[in-house]
Amino acid sequence: MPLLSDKDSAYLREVFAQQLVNPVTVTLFTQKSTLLTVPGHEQETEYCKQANEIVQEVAALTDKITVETYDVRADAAQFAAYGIERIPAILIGAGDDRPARFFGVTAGYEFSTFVQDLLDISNGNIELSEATLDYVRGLTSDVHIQVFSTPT
Amino acid sequence: MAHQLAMANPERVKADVIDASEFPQLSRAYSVMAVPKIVINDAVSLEGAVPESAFVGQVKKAVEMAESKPDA
Repeated sequence: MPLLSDKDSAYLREVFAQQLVNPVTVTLFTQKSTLLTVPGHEQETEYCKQANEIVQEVAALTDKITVETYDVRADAAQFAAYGIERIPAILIGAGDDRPARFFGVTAGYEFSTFVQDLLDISNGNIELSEATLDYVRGLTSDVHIQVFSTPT
Repeated sequence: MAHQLAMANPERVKADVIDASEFPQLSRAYSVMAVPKIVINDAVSLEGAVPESAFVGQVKKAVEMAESKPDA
């Protein structure tokens, strides 16, 4: 059973057709197979199943989104390369960068952020003031921002 | 907003949106009581939606704290 309603799919398909310019990549760190659950990890498996589905459903609405999927057991090297310690993780970017990172299923409120990020990254759309841009581009040390959110 | 900062400088800024209910241990570790809660460099936190200038102010604070630490 799809996670997106027919109405939402149709709406998104239209938005993507009109607003996606450059291709974007969604990199998904997850359990590729969610048919079997490991005792103690049932919830994680369920979340991965939903994340896998939502990403596939969204990507199917346009040919400008490419999905790369890495499995927690088979692709440890990729997990290490991207510094991913929790799944599901959904990263969005273009080229080599993945500036937008989500941990957990991008549902509810986070789903609209997910869609907006896809559009912003596709369009290189950055809506920050000049002062903020100057500051951020001039950073000489690393900044790790964690935003705790909730889908509802 | 956090993702926008990362888009502006992906080499330096890492921005994670975390579903607090899916990661209860992590949420407990950061004492997340209400959302949104934003934690910067494990050093500075803020709660609720804030305007860009206030957000950047907290980023600056976190960066200053990191840069003023003597090298180990």
